[in-house]
Amino acid sequence: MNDLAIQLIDVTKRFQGPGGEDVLAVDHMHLDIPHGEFFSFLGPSGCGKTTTLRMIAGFEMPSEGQIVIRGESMGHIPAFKRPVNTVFQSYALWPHMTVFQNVAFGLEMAKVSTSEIKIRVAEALELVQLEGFDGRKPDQLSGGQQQRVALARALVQKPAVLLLDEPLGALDLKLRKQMQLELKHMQEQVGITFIYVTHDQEEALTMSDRIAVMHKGRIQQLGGPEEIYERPATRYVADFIGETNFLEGRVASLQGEWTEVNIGDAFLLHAPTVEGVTNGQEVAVALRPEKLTVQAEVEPNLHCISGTVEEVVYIGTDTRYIVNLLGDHRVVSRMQNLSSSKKLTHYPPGSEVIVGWEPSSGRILTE
Amino acid sequence: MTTLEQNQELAIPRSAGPKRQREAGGLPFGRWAIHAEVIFTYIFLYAPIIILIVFSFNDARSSATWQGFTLDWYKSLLQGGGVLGLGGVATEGQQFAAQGILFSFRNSVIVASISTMIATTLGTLIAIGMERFKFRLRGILDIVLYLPIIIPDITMGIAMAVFFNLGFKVLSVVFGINAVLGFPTIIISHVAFNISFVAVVVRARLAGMDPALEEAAADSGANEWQTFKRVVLPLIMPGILGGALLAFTLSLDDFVITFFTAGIGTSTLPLFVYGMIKFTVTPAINAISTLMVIASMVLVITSLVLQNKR
Repeated sequence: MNDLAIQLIDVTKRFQGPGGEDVLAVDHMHLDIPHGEFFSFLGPSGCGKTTTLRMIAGFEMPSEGQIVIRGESMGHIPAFKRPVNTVFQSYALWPHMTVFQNVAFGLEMAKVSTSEIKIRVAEALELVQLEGFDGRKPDQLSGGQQQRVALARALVQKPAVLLLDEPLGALDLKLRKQMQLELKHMQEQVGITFIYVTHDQEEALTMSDRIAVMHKGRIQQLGGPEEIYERPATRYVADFIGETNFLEGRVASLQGEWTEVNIGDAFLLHAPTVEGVTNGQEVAVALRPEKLTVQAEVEPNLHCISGTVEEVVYIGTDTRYIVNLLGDHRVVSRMQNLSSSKKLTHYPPGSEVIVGWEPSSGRILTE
Repeated sequence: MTTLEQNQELAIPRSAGPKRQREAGGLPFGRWAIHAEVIFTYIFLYAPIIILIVFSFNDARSSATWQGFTLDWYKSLLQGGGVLGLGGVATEGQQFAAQGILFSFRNSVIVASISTMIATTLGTLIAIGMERFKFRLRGILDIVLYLPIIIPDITMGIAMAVFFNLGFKVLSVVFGINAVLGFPTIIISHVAFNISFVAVVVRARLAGMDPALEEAAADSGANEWQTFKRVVLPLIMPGILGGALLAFTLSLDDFVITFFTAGIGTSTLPLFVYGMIKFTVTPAINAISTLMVIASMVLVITSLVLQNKR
């Protein structure tokens, strides 16, 4: 109990919609987040991830349920008394204050002595690599620098939990990737629990210890990045995280750790058995495009299905093949361009090919 | 440190989205029409004022022809010649008139200052209430708030006169107090229309403020009062000052509403000028009006600059 930073107990949030109807933003959520974890809420806009974060911060109050921070129930404790700090999507730096004043504000409110404020602000600015920027106003900083000030402002108060609401959304791709790694390192360095909200699956996979994939106010799957990506629990998760091929079919037989699936009476395939699957059940088998190889010959130990290449798209690191498999099942395969001497039009559109994959790469989805 | 250098290059000025401005019409006629419109607009707006200013320097008494440059009319404002014309020793009546100008100007400043302070405080509070809180009858207040801006001054003036008349009767019957029109009634009526202008200006400022700025303050441990004092107030201050200057200008310039609510000895400058015109028209009127135009323009421009300040 005491090693938990945050507990959500049956938390529900209802809003009044524009027509006066109730909108369920967060639906009976249970969640435990241990100390020192980098935890992400991942989902599209409107899935309830930001509302959850705002309830932890105290900007919204749950309609039902309880939020416990470090073993203490928050009840209706207002935002300004909670041991959490937020990095806002818009950064929300106060434009009339200098960088120093922005970072020092929280310490002033906490009645920290002037000499200690100086030391701690300097430390915080060093942590985000903004030494010497104390006297600047926010509008004299670039987007990336403003983002760092927002981080320093939140971290300087040594919160139990740092809440980050899509903080990298406004940055360009290169800077975003760089900041992702920096944030991860920073989190390991300060040891504070980070709760991160994002709609960017790659961002969540890169940084998180654990990810909650959210949909319509519910957690669809909770797990580490690898688990979420390799073993999605539902169709929704498989579809939201990365690109996925779905082969629709029916369970033909259960053979211990393997399940045989009949794909539209066109072919049979094996995939690892998942919990709760029953004989004759309608299922989908999810296959990641990078797990599929396009080749000329049948290979032992691989599932090999013949098909016709419909389209070839060169995208730099990879080449995408869209192949129409036996029985009119269209799948996408991504083949890495490992050698620059190989011809791109190795399998031009129209050519008859074999699509192969290891049976263990298939993931049976029951819902 | 390469990262910081890179960041520097990425500096994006805030609110600097490229302003889309179309070149005036692709067709020759379109361009011509826009130029003509601009010219006519300026003529309509400013020709009478420019004529007024030019003739305030005309060395002739009530003449529409230019007779040469003089500052006599401005001097006469201070000497009392403004009423009875140029030349000679100022008579008793002229001195009285000069005092009247200064006296009514003083009245105007008193009325404008007090009504501005009251209207700015109330207007700011209303703006914050309307923008940040939900309460019953908010929708109705929203409409009512704009009324003084929309309804004709004459209606407002008459309404005020009727209201005070009734109020005085109640005071005398119920409390035995005999009240008359004077500074309090002018100030109350000026506050009544200025609240709306201040509220509208401050509200615009508040509406343009990211609510996350206040949340960030709460997040940093500031209670509501500290958030208001340290974050909200400094950020809306340009709006408050802009609204105050606008209110001061409107109060200084108001004639119609003041006409219905002023009593003996409390004539403001516009009322006094009106009285002078009834008596006799001299270019001294032009001189007073010019000074009022300049004062108003300075105040309004300052107000606009403040409102647009980031």
